[in-house]
Amino acid sequence: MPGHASRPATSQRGAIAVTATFFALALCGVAVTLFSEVASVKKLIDRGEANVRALEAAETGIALAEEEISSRTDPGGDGIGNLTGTYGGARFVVATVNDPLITDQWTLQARGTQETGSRQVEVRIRRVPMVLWSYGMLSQSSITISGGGTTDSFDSRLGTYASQATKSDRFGTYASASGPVGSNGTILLQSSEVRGDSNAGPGYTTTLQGVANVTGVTTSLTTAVVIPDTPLATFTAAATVNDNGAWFTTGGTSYDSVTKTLTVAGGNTITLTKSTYFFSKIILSGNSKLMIASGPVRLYVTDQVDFSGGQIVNATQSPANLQIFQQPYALPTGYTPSVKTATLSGGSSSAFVFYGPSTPVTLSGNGDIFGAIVGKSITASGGSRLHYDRAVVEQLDDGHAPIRRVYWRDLAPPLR
Amino acid sequence: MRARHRQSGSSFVEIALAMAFFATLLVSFFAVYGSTQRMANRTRVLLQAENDEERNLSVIANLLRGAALATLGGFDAGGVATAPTFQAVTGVDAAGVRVLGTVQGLAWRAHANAVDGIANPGEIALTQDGVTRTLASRVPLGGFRVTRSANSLRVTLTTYSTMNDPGRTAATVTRDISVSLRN
Repeated sequence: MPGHASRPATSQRGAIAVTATFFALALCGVAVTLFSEVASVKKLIDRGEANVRALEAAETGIALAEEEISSRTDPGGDGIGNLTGTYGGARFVVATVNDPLITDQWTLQARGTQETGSRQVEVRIRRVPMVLWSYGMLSQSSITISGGGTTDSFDSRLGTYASQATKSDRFGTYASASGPVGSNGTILLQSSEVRGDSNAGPGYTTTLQGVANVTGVTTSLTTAVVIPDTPLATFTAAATVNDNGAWFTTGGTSYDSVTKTLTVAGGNTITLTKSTYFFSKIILSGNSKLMIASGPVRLYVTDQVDFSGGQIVNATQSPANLQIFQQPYALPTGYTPSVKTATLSGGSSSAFVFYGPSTPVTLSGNGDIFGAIVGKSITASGGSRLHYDRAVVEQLDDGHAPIRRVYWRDLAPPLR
Repeated sequence: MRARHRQSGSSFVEIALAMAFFATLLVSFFAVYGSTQRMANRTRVLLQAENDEERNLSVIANLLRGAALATLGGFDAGGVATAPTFQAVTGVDAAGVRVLGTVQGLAWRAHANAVDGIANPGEIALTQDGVTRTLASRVPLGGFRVTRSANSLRVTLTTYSTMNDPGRTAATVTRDISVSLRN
């Protein structure tokens, strides 16, 4: 009897097992289908996202390479414009080639990779040197060099001028015969030498008198160089927020905080310790010195710069570290410029750049000036020796030359 | 003996009840499955449309990104185009001046075959040098527009997706993407 009673229970368990198996298989089928669909969709989405991230990485690499080319720096030591790195988990490699014929143009190829995504972008750029600082002297109206004055050039990044001044001619020793002068008007050389090109303005010529010489060409410019004023906003900002008073002085210093007039006399030295100064007049007399120990220091002057009785001492030896801007704006408030001239003098450490497109500039004495000068007119009658620093064309504007893109292209855009 | 036979098998009523129970279970299962399937189809079609939309936009953006701004054509006074033309930069000449490729054009074209649930099915085609190829598929009539603003283009695209199921499930998705021109 117990054996008979168990038979129906066994067959019922079989039916339930079959039914359960059927449902389980059906559910498994649905689950597998859904899972494969989700996996397929995820794969598509991942691929799209990887492509986007790869492009972002490639563009990041391009931007970093452009920065290197703009500043002519090579932090990685693998050549300017060549670099590798990661961005957002994607990797990029940039290879740059400087056009051997058009040397201011560069071709950058960047590859970005992220898992299954890969993008390759090519960019051609042009490095635009700042014409304003391509000359040792540049003027709006005229340049006159007389009394044995000379120009040449050196590169302050390569060491001191003295270490580069290994050549000589009848005007003395010099570093490199690439110290050009340019003007939108006339250029007159009297018993002086320009070691480099002398480019007078359109319709004007370079005139040589006495034992004068130009080692380069004397071709006149075909179009005038645009020499813009320093913006009023820049001067206003400097007049409003500046570091006036942040200096050390050995004495003999007079400063009027209302008119912003600074005079240093009696052979004293004033050392500027901050970065931005604003004056209506700054005057050195009695063999006084204006000194900087680090830079860049920017001086904004509205009325008069007179260093004829003293000299600049730039301990960094880098002209870009002392930038003097002069523009006859009616600043500070209530002040009206009346002199509106600049008289600069040389010395063994007179390294600076001067930018005053509305200012008649006089170079006094026969000292050495290291850097570059832009003025309305420039007169050097005492035999000044201007040593143009080729580095300033790279170093000014925070050491960057503007980059212009010639083109951008996607070498292998992912299509369908 | 009779009693033993009854106990060892199932009565007709028991079998009928069991079958009715399983039938109810099956009907319920297929009803739920069918309903779920329809919802899944709708979701699947929508998902497909979203994926296609994203891929289409990406493809168009990749193409337009290298267009030279000065070569853009086909835009009306409001800066809108449904069949824009452009030229991409291919390199530079000996003087370092960039060289443009031939004119490329994007335009909607109709599909030859009808698509259930979509009134005017079509696609976006790219034509260059007389050769036309599909760039973005499953785009209905009026589903492609490019708006120009300074050196950016906003591409607005509609993509559809359909399923060959009994319900002829269909879905459309409209999105846009902004492309900053590099040239």
